[in-house]
Amino acid sequence: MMAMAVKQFIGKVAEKKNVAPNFWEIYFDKPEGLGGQAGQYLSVKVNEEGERRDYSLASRLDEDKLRLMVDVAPMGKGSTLFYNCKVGDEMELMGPMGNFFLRENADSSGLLFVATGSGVVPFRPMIYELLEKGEKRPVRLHWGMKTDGDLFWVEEWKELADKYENFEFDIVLSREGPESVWHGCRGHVQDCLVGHEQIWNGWEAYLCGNQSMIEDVQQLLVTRGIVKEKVYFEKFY
Amino acid sequence: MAYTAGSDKAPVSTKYQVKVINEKCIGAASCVAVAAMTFKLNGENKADIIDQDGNVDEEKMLAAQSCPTAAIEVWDTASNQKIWPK
Repeated sequence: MMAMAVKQFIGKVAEKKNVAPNFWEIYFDKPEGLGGQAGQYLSVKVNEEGERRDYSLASRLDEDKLRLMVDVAPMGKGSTLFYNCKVGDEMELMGPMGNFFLRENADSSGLLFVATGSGVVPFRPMIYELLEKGEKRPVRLHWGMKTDGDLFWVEEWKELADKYENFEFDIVLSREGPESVWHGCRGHVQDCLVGHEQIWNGWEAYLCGNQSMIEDVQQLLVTRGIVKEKVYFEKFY
Repeated sequence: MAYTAGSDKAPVSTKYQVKVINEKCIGAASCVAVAAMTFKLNGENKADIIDQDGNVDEEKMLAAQSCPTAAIEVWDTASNQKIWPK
């Protein structure tokens, strides 16, 4: 196997935005000549002992800043670092890297994206890339979150759906209360997919998020027309 | 200053030995990205060791540190001590 070149660089925090109660966008200046593919992640050194955590890139390849989306709810070492960081702080970064990127099999009849929580993050650059370079096959995003208040990027997904008739998205909320006016699907995203009558014959699928969703959806998709070899996944933990 | 890890030049021998704790591995493949001459993903999407001397010690340590689930142990063969995770 050929060795992949992985860049190590110092990233300076250029901007920080709180987009939902537990979700922060962190922007870094982008080094010149940084390669990578939509769907990959950066490894971030989170303490002096050298421990690292991985964060999917939310930014498109053509954007001039690197963007991460951090769920700080766990308040682990990575979450704490990003929650407390300030513009101008420097961090040791490595990447982009990872095996989660678009395969775009020419014989696929559609592309399905299923995410839980921050698992939607790598799908932003992946879906933009597909649509903006003229993808005509159906592209579907199903995203599971807890409550309406946790959501981010919804307007962006709506704009994409308005602009590209082959893109549709569906948000599924698992903890929205009965008094809520939420009109979308409720429950876990995998349960909502089970309820769909849809068959995805010949599609390829990208799954990103918690392990139980990935295992459940992998099993479901095989019964609905997607071969196991065309299901690509990245487990968050 | 950027530098590139994951060299193609295999050293003759290295001081560090690495071990993958299979049940912790989630197939993130950062080890493969950093030290591709030492690690690969197998058919079950778990990391396997190809060659203990596939990359220099610094790269093997970085690969272990890059693992999000601390599934890679690094052992110093001289002292027979585990040096990562601490």
